[in-house]
Amino acid sequence: MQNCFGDLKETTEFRVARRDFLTRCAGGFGLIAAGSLLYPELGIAGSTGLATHSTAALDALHHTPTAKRVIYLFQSGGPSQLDLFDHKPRLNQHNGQDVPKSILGTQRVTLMTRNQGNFSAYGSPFQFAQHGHSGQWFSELLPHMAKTADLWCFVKAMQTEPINHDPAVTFIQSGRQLPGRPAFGSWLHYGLGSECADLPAYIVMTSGSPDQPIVSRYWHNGYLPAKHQGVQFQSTGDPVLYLSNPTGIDHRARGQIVDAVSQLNRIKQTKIGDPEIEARIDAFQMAYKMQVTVPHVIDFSDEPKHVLEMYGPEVHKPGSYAYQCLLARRLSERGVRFVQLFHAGWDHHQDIPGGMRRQTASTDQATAALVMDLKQRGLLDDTLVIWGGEFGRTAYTQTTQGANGRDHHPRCFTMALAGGGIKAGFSYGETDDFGYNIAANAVHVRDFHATLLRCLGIDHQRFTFRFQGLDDKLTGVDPVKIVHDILA
Amino acid sequence: MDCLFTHRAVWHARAPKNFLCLCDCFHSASSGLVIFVLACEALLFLAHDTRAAEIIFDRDIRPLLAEKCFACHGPDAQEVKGDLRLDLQDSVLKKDGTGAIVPGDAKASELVRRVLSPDDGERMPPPDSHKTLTTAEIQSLQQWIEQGAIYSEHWAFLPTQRPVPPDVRTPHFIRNAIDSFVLAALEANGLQPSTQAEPETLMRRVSLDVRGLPPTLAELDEYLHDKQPDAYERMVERMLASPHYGEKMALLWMDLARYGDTSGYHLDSTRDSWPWRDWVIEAYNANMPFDRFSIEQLGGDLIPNSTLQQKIASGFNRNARFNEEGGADPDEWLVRYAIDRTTTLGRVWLGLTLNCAECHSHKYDPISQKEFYEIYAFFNSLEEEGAGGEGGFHNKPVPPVIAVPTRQHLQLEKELLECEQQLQAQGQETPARDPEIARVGAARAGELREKLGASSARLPLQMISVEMPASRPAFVLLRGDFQNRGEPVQRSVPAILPPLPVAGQRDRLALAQWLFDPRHPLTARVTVNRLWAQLLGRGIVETVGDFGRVGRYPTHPKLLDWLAVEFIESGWDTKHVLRLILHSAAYRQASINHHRNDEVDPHNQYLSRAPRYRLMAEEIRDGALHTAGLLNEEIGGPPVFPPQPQNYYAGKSGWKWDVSVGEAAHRRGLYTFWRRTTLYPTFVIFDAPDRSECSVQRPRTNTPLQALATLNDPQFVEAAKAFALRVWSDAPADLDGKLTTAFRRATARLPDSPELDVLRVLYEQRLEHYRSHPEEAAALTDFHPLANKPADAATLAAWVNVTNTILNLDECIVRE
Repeated sequence: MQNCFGDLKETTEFRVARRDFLTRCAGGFGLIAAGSLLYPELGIAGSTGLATHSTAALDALHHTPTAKRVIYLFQSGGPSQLDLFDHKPRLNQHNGQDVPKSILGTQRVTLMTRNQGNFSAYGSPFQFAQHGHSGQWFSELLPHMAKTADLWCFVKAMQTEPINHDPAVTFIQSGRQLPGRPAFGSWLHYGLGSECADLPAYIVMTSGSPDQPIVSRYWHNGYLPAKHQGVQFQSTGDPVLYLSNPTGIDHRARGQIVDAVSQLNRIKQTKIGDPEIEARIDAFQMAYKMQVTVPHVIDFSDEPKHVLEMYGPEVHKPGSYAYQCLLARRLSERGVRFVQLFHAGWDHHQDIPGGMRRQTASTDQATAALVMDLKQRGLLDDTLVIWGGEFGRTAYTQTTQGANGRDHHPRCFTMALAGGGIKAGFSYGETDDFGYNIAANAVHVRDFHATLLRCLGIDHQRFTFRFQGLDDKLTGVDPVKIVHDILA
Repeated sequence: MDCLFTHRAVWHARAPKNFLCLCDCFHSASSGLVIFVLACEALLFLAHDTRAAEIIFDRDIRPLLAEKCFACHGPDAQEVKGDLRLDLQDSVLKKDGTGAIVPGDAKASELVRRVLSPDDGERMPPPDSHKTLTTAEIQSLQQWIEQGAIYSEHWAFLPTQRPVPPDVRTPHFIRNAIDSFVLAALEANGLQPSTQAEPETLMRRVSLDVRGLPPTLAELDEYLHDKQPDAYERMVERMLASPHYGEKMALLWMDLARYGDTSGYHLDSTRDSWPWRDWVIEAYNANMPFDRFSIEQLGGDLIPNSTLQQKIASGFNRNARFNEEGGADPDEWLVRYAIDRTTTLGRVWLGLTLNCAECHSHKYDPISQKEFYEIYAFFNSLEEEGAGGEGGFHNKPVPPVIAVPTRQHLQLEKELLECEQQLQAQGQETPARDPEIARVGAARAGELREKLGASSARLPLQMISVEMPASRPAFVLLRGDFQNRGEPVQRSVPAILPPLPVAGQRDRLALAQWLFDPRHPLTARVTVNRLWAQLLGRGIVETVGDFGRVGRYPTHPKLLDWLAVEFIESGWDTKHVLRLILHSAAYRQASINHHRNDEVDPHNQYLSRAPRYRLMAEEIRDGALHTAGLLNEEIGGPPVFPPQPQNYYAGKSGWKWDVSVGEAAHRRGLYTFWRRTTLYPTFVIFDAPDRSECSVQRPRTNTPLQALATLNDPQFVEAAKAFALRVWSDAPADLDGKLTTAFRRATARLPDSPELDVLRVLYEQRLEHYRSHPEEAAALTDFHPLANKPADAATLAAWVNVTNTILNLDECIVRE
């Protein structure tokens, strides 16, 4: 048996150590992962598809997983589905006219457009065409993604609840609008553990021009222990905070210091008998290993030229979306469970024609390259790639902002998925002729979460953590359905 | 299984009646077999165990029913299935004998039959609930029914009474009443207390627990050399009298009070909350009674003729976040803030998860959804902005605010007043005697007025509570949705708790005063439990924010009540309760774990030794700076910006982190600017909550990122460097002497010989390296002129390696 700090011998004191640890994990509320009740004897790593390098809260997976890891390309700000994937010729025909009342209905709109006199339809200024054997629609903004049409599944009737950025990002990240719950990636790390001994299990990177803030609360562990929070890779300076030794202390010196710390800690351990000290020694060892591993991961010099070219010229620029897409692949390859990119700049209240062009120019090629790269390496089979933002955008314009922008639209938007057991070359769900309401097969954010968990081998109903007396779930208490139709 | 086997043999001899019972159970095929075995084990155990531990309904049965059954058979009347409520005795034990339980007869009880049923359609909990009962739980249920199925009100809702300290077998351990309770529990479990900790350990423990700082060598020596019998008690008094006591207490309170220097949503604009924080520090240092402390924060603005200080205190309610995002709907967010305040009241003073009743009646505790909104109604009528509105509400003070004169401002006012008085006096005495003096005086007054004007414009604007003249109407919000109003509600408190006075205003002030009604069963218990957790690592009720039915049963229920009554009768004297605990023998025990009790008490909940655990994030940093002699011990004032990685705010629009320079960078952690959406990184790494909402308990994790922080965070490196210089100048001159002093500065104790060996070897290894690599030595010591002399630089560099090592020891970041 291994614990999350590395190997521990199964002696009495270490059993106690683990129990201590489990209690601590649960913030003192007792660890309740439903799986442990249902499969009490199956806690052997390897045979269960669970982690080999740290304790997973789940003793066994509930289903055979189709994905082992996730790369989530989060497009922050709310990309316009109407200008990328959701082709609406009738909206184009109505361009400039009011969106009919029957379409608008009574749903909430934001304060930014609530008081404007009219809701005039804004057809997409971009050309659409079908691509691949599957005939999926792409706008002209996405020539590279269009070439990978047959690898993607588009969920076109996604639905969320909040109408503003912060609650909406919080919702799609954690299943709740209000802060305080664990992020999806934290849940995965908690449930599945880590597959990698010398890298964090949940890594986050940010890029793009921040028209909306991207804050670390979005990858917070909530009530789960802090070790499950996303670790942000910084685009400049140390990729992992405090990774570099101070000038004058080289790696060998650091080794000697870590060694001395460990020796002294071990002496203390014999005197005081606190099993936690053993865990501390392991933590220092892993920190020391990370100092070697991380610089190697971010060094692209071992990448063939054709791979670098595939991602585009920006791949050489640390902090760019392209750079981070390639880094995401390199981290996934090394067993990082969940890599999440936050690319900002999609909040186009104005200037859809210019803004969307700029956004897609910096993301289209690298997104396509990542999926192709994973495919070529055989990694796409068990790596789930997700592309999407916190909500969509309205079919009408925001008249106060130059009449060529779109407001927030939670009622329907598009998410794209690839790999990891998702049906490829497929489109699911439909919106109405204005792309304003859902016409068929709605997928709520909760359904989306449950379905992703299903791919990872987890039954969302049985994946819980005791918080304030409740066995809380990522998917909450409202009715949730798994979207079986998009599973391969 | 050995044990069970024995039971079985005994059972055959004694319990033919139960044999029949087993046969009854055995009526199904394979799926039933497992159940059968469980049932056998349960009943065998029951039949045999004549000295079965007493079943306590509160501890053993109610939490079990709450967790496994209440979702369908509990307080949420809308969800009740089969007309059975297991939380109500009358619903379970019907007079006509048709109830789910027949007291004294587990076998005849329908509940037991359903729990044991092999039929998926009958068995409880049903399979689709994904809940199962363990063998031990079924045993407990059966035993409880056999013992008469006695229901009692949940302990935490019953009034507190002062219990008599129990008799114990080894009274010499006892120093005060606390120890009687602790020792009795130890004896009942066959455990023995530990001996007293070493004096160095004790001093460091008290210093950290009470001030959040380790002791200085001088403080340590003073205590060690004090041979009077009350040396310990006097040391405790010195610690409690330290002005840093208020800082430690404030740090803990700031988590509860969700303190932040920013609004907490979206662009996360800055706000001036620190006058409130300073009020808290001062209140603790003055040992303000906890009732007044609470009342002024919840309702200070409503106290007739409230003072500036009371208004500042009422900023507590405004510590809730504020959504400044453009487009956000004010109506929605006004509701959120009031819910946040209701939730905070619940967790801080009532120890209840009131927020569970936001969308539906509480599933475990007797709090209906209506009652939730009745408390909410006290908090929904503050004068405040709801949200950013159409264009956003960025970087503006969120009214109502009050300008708070700073110390410097008050000093200016004083100077001006003096100056003016002098001028006036001069004018009256000898008009025009010395025009030059008058001119200088007038010029000085003019200058001061100008400064004062400028100062006034810069005064912090503390957000405060102001009640609207007419209250906003309050409604039950169906499913917590602000657009979905149910019945209107009036201000009131839950029926399970003492009522509000019939006469008088029903406002926040009255609500705050109600918390301190002597009959209130929760406030004192919840508060002393937190004080206990502050000194002993975990609460008597482990779930410090949940005293409800699924909260943990107290490990020492009578001790909790004894402390609660003591707290009330002392006039809510916080220092008094802390002092009692600090004086106890239980607190003074050594924390050495001999692993003798791993089976009986693996988590040390009965305290056969003192707990040993990691310090809070801020304390770890403060400790390193303190050991290095860098800590700036100034108290209060605006937040500061110690260095954080330059790229940490990359991609975050509009935020600046103007690094504080000089001593301002070395203030205690509680003064570090608290940006709620992106916290100071080293604190996040060490489990600090972002304080988006009330946080009652910090986890204590142990991760590689923490190791990197203490090894390489520039502030920790800076501390190692300053510490090295300190060692350099420390007497004695010899290496072992220096190593010993350095070790002692950090850990308060002397190193033993193997420890000294490790440090000496490291020092010599590194010295040799730096002698042959002067450029590395120079790079590491360029903070000091010594770097110019290679020999000195090599020595100092080697010391930096040693001090960096010492500051990374487990012992430095734990309290033991």
